Amino acid sequence: MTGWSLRSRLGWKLGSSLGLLWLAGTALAMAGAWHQTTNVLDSSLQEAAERLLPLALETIDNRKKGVGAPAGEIGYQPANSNHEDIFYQVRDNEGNILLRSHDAPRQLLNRTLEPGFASANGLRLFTEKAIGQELYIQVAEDLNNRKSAFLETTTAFLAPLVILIPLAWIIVVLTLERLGKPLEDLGKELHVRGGNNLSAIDGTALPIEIQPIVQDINRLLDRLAQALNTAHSFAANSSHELRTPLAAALAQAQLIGQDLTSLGQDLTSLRARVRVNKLIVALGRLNGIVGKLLQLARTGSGATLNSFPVNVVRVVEFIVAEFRRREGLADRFHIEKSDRTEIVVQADLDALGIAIANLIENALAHGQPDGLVVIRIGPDASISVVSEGDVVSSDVLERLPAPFVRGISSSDGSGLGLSIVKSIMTGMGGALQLFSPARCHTGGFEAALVWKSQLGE
Amino acid sequence: MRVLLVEDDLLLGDAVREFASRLGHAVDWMQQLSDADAAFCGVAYELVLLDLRLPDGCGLQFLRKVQGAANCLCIVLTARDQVGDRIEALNMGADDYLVKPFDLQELGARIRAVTRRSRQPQLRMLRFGDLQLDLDSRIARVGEKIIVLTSREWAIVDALTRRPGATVSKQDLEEVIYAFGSEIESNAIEVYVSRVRRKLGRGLIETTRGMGYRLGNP
Repeated sequence: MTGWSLRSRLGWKLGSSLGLLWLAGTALAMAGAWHQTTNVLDSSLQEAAERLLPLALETIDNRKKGVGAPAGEIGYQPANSNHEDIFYQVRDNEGNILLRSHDAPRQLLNRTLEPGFASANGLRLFTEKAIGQELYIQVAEDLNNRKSAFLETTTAFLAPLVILIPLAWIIVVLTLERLGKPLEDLGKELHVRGGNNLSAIDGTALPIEIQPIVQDINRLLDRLAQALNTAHSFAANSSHELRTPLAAALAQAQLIGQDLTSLGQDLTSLRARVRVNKLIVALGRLNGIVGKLLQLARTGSGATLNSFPVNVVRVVEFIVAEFRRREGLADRFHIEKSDRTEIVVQADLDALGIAIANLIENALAHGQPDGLVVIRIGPDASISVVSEGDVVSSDVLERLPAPFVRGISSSDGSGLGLSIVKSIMTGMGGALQLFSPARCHTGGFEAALVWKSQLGE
Repeated sequence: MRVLLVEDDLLLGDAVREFASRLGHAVDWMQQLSDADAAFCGVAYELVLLDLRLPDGCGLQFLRKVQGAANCLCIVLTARDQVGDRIEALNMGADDYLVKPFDLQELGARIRAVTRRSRQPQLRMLRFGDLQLDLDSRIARVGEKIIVLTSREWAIVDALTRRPGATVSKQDLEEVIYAFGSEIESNAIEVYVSRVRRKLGRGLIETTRGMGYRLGNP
């Protein structure tokens, strides 16, 4: 089946939208977290610089007075000190390091002594100038520490998403599955009921959004059922109304013919008999045309749209038996089939009967007079009617299934039989195929009814 | 044979009754199911020619009744030409099915065919000395000579050969050759039996005094 799936499209769109929104939200949260962290840590640096500067100045001052450590660059190391995240240098305006924390490098943290924040050499720096002196303190923090902290935060944010996004996707799919089930059930019911069951669909269990559609389908089904009933009634009524008076006329004409036969052999009686015979022939032709037009009306009106399991072997045998009962036709038929007594196909019994009867009538009318008509039933339920006779040219063969087209045969015919068969087979999803010469023969004509499965559809 | 024709169309019914009568059958023609039902209850018909679409109902119900009766054949004559209709009628017990319009000769052939099928094979061809009776083809021969019998004479022979050895009452024979409303002369059966004996030989039909007639021993 072509087209798109509402469920898969909804699943993809909802799932991917949900995932993307989630990721975008996380990214925004991360950006906010980075900004806040930077602010807080910068603030800590500044706070540390402001707190340390008086202490450092006091230490330097004491050193000048000979109290405490000797003069020179001193790495201040408090007791029990560990690795420092924050370290500092106290410098004069000539760049000499007067004091530094024990983790601070001996090299300058930053050459410039511009007060405020700066980033250099992989460090975040805050420089503060002592009031009234040319002394500066530079407090620094390794930027890798911040990155590492941010990475940990990011991981803490993203780790649940690895589980939550697929979980959300599964929930979306399951929800769609559950919500789509009534629609799926509706589709299955419509598929299973086929073309025969035109009763209303029960939509009470369906969502209210779907119920109007079901109501419209029910209205259409009702109209279709009415139309088919009308078509069936029309076919039955018109058949009765047309055939009965025709039968009366034919029977009365035949009785007149019998009466005239018993009258004698004078010229007037003979002439009258000839005329009555012509009348009987004309009525016979009229009967044939009426029959074909009724079949055309049936197939055209959709009165043959039913589809039930039909045993084609039984139908072929039944129809051939009817033909055999006709005068002079008892030995004209041969049925070729496998040993199987039951080959079932989904079809309209009456339509299939019309199609087979038309092919046999066609073979009798246009085949070799007194020639054998072979009806072949394939294991795939295909039905071929093969008649002896001249080969029909390919261009005539192509035109034959069109209405009111006759072949080159001189036999009387309405030119409707094959077009009716074609219409029936198209309606049942199959096809009428014509061959001349017949398959596996050097001459003759073959008409085959094939089904949807054989057409590779 | 005594035949019940159920057909509501006047022109067609008239033609079929006339044709069947010419074949030697006694035909009662009913145009409604109710009348056909009443007639069927009163007479032992051997053949029913039944239209399915009748003014007071569908002939299939009546067909079921016919099918339930012993020794009664039924040919459906109808405009319903669909395979499903035909299979339904045959499944319900019809012996044959003829779609309108039909050739009267075809109807005659179908009547002969269903009668032949119902007759025991050994009774299709009978021999009485030089006399040979082909009951299917309705041909009587004495030696090489074909003897012509009228329809009613054949009807008498046919009725007796259907029940070989049994005595058939005069009343039963009257029912075979006379339809409802026919004027029956008191000695009509004796006259026809006499004619048959004269044409085919005295030994063919034996008289059972006070009871009727029976087929003689071959």
